Amino acid sequence: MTTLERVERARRTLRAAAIGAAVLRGAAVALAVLLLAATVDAFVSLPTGARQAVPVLALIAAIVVFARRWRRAAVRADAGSAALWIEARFPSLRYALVTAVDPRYAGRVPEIERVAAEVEFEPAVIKAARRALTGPTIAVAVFAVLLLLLPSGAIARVVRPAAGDALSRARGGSHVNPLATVVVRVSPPAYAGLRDESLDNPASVRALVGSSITIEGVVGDGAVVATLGTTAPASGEAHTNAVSTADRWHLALTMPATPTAVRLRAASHERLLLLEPAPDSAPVVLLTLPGRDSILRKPTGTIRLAATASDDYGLASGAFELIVSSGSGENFTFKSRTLGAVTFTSRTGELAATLSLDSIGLQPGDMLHLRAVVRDRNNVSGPGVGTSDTRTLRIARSDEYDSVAVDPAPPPEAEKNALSQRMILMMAQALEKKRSKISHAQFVSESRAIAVDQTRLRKRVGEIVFTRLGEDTGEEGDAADKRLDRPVNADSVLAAADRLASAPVGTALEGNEDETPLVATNRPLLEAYNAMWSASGELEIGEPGKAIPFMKKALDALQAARSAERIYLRGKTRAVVVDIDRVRLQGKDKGSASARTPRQPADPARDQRVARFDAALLLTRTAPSAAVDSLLLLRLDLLDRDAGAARAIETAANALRGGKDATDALIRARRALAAVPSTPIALTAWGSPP
Amino acid sequence: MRSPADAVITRSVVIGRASRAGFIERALRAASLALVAFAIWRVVGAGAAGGTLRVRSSSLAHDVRSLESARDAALHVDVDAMPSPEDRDALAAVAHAGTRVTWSAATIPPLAAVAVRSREPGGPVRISVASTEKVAVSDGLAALDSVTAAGAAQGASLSVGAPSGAVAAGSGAARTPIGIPAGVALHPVLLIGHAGWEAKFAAAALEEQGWNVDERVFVAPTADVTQGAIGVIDTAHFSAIVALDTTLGAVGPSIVRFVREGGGLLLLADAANAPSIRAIAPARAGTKKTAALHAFDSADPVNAMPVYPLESPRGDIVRLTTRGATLTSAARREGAGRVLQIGFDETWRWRMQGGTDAAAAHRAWWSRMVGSIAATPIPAVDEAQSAEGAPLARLIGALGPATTVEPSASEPRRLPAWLFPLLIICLLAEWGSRRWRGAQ
Amino acid sequence: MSDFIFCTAQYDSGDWDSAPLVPANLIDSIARYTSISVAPTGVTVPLGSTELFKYPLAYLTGHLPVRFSELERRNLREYCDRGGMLFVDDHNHDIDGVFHKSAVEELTRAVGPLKELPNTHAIYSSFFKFEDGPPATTHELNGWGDNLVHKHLLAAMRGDRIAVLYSSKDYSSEWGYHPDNKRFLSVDNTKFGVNIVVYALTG
Repeated sequence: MTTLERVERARRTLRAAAIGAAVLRGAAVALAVLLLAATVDAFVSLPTGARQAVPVLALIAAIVVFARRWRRAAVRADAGSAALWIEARFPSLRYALVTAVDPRYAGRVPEIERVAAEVEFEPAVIKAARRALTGPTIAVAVFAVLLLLLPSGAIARVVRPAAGDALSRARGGSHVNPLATVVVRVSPPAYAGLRDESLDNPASVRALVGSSITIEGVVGDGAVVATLGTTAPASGEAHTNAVSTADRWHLALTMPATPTAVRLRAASHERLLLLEPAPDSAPVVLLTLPGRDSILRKPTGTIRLAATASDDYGLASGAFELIVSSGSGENFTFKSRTLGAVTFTSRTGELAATLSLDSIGLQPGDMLHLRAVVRDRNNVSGPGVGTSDTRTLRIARSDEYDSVAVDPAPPPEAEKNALSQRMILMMAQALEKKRSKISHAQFVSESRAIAVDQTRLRKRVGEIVFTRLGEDTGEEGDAADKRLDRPVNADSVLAAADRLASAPVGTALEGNEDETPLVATNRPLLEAYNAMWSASGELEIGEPGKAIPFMKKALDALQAARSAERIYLRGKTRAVVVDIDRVRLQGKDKGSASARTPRQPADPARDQRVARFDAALLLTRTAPSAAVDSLLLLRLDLLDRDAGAARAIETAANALRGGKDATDALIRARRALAAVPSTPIALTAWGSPP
Repeated sequence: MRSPADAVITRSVVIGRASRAGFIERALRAASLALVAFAIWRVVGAGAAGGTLRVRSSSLAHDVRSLESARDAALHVDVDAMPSPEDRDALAAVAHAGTRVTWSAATIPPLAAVAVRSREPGGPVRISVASTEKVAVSDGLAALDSVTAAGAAQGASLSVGAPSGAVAAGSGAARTPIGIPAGVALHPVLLIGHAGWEAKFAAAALEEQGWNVDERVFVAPTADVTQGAIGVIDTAHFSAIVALDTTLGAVGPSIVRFVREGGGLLLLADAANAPSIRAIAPARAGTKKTAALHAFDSADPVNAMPVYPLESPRGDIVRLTTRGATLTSAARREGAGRVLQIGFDETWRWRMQGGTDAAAAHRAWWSRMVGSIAATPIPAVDEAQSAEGAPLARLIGALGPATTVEPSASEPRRLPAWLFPLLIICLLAEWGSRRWRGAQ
Repeated sequence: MSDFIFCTAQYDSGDWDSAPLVPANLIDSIARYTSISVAPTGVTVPLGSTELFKYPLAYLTGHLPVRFSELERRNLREYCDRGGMLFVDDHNHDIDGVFHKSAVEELTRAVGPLKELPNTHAIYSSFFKFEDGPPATTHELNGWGDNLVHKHLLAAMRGDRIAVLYSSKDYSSEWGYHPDNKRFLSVDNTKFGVNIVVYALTG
């Protein structure tokens, strides 16, 4: 083996030892960091965040140390360095090695080989390498052993820190408070698709209704019993015993629908835990097609329906709901169906369908009400049902224009008669005005033409009246015609009708004590009928001037009859102006005095809550843990009533529990609770300005 | 055996030592006498000289005893912190004993604070403060709030619900306890008016705020809606009467007597024009005017209400609010009672049409209005605390106004703390030296 | 003092205007029996509008399905929370009808569940006395609609006050005539309407 080869071999040995020592030193530092953290955590519970940082910190420390040693090892990266290292320890070599590894002299100077061969430097190299590795190896071994001597939970807490590992460092025993350290594991309902969660020593647990709640602790002084109940005085309380296995106790609960306080007791120990149900919102549904209400000319063809839906935890199913209403006025029929049912598998979804109008048999005047209905996957407290806005499609009647947005039904019969009578009256008045300007023959001719219209109108009124009075005009043919061709004795006709009707409806009427409603409502029409008869007679003989008073009388009577009708306008609502002064206190009946009952104060429990808060504040000086419990119970009461105050109290309670300064949080909570101090106002001479 | 020469040498050494020790002992005796003399001069000498003693108010608690026993010709107090009532009274006593006491302060802001128990359900405490600087109000538990009273012309007031423990106000170096009157029981409020939204929501607002409301609402000539047994109208039965309009019915004639006996009367809208109460109303209600601002969902919903302007006001009224040139509310005393006339109408719109907190604000407004005139028994007040409230004013009252030119003054004649120990040390050292010599 | 103005609520779906004469008829009755200051005509206000808050009593009726928009729902909830009262009448007088089903569903979503109002409630004695609870309508007596005489009205409450009064009795048909024709009736059938208004104004 040449000198060069021997030096190269020594270099490799030294380099390997240096790298090994660097690695071992890095490992030792990492183990030392872990050991230190685990030891500190055993005495003072480190927060999860700090523990999560420990492995990272250990790794960084290891890398730094390794890098530092690596740089030192790099000194021996070439044969020259190794030769110098050996020469320093074997002066007898007299730089033979350095010369031997110099390329300029390599192999050219035999004397060098001879001198080098006389010196056995390899054992020294091996010894140096061994010495370099010994210390770090021992350090690694010692730290590793110390770590192994720690409880397994303690190492896990720093190596694999996770929420819920608070129990790892807790030890049971007959004198240990079993409630000092508790871990709550929450398993949300399957439908939510959420992961399980673990909480270390929580003051409150917020989870979906139906979530499985498991409370764990170490077995200690006394059996653990949980008392569940709200803070409301009337609410009942339920007791549950914890189950003990090995050195742990477990308590299984289900998240209730209302905020509930769980009071854990074991011997003389007590701990409070709040269960806060988290809401599962109903799906939000948006009907995108059809985009607005509209009127269809014909009930044929297809329309596209589309909707989008979303939910906080997951949609289950959805469909379009259709309701068809047919009819008008007082008579409607309805039929309903669903369309486009879909099943969802995610939190958002879309519904789409095509509706064939022919298939649902729509008729003119029918209305189609459309909406999308979506259900979520909540099979515990739901399902939540979300609905979209409703779109209404109306099928136009044949006599409607597309642009008409409301149903323009023709005026009721009585109103039409009034319109016609007014027109005939105006025609008669116009004819009378031009009497002197036209010939007598023409005058009489035009008068008789008006008489024909008047007679036609009279017959229509007669039909209405006699039909109502039970005298069917259609069945008796000529008799009816004859009847309509002569004036009637209104009283006798009405009296006869009244007898026939034998209506049990009331007897006394306002104005005329003898009239029944049947008589009263038809009397104006009969008066109109007779007046029309007289008017048409005068018109027949060419005397429109004499007919006009009768026509006016008929018009007035028709107006009265029209007012007596129950009219369902289908167009724009007509404003009826009540003559308040005329009818004021004209009613026959008198009301009686009544007693009002007082209203309850808006928040009757507010003062009580403020007092509870003040009591908790006083407790902060003497018994902080009791103060925290009092604040948490107060917060439970506020969850549904005043979210702001509940938040402020939670912050204060957490600060107190953590041993931090809670002054600011308590002041905020106090202000939120009492709703005062109010905004300062300037003083006035009176004190309380409006 | 020692030689004579040795004895001579020894004696001369002893003599030398003895003479040094004697010198030291004499020096110590002299020092002791000097210290005693100094103490005597400190105690009596300076006073006899007739100088002005100067003390800081923050150390008064320490000095006050010596001040009382001394007979200085003059005393000047640097008020760097507001003296406690006890120290202030001690200074006043010194002044009355013949010492000229002056004081000056550079940083003490004037502060006045007073608390009244609002005549409202729950008895919220209204603390009114005036100062040139920010005033912090606190109770036994924590700080309650701070207000800047300097901006307002006459101060500011704030409500503090139910304070716990002692309430105090502080402004800069000034601090004062605030006496809180005890809560009092309130009699019901009688609400009279025509059936309408105003009657409904006025009663609702008061009841929801915790008032007991008796009411008579006129619905028809033969049918009133009543609440409570409305018998005798007097202050033993009612705290206040609220008239919503001119319809007062049979109650009208009793109202004037009720007010003069100490009852409160709140006249809303045009109620002041009711013949039976016109004589005590602050003004006549004019013709109803709608507001230029119709939005109740605004920062100033009161000005969105229609108003009956207060016209022809009486000379003894306190003008409270105006809308432009229009007087909208005023108050006056009538006998032992109070009459508040508010021209606003349709206040119910505030509750229905106002912003998010409109219902609560409407309730509070109604409660405040009624509370400002309600008759209640005079509440008990903690005299010790209520006597304070304006510390600077109290100081001026006790010692006179602050001096602007500070007199030349001496320090207080307190014996220095080191004097007595030093004296003891001197005496002990002198005694020890003598004993040492004797032992030789 | 402002006049009482009768307000008809207009909602997006359905025939909200199916009883146009009811407002005038009730206005007439208010004036006829009480001294309450009342406006001679009513107003129609969209349920989703802020205008609704100007009228603390509103009347809603129809035959067709009631589907509130989210805005209408929110507005109605706020309206009731502030002290407003909505009187809803099923113009179909049919508890199996689509108006009843849809209106009850929508009202429940908006203001909470509707429960039977005891027949001793103050609304039955606020002005006229109705010893047996809500007066029956001729439609009920004639066997129209669901062929039932409904013994109770339904109500959603805020505290002990009615926020929504729901009727299946079809007062909209019963009161849907011109007020001038009241003289033809031996017994004025709108008297319960007066009670509703007086209760709303004084409760």
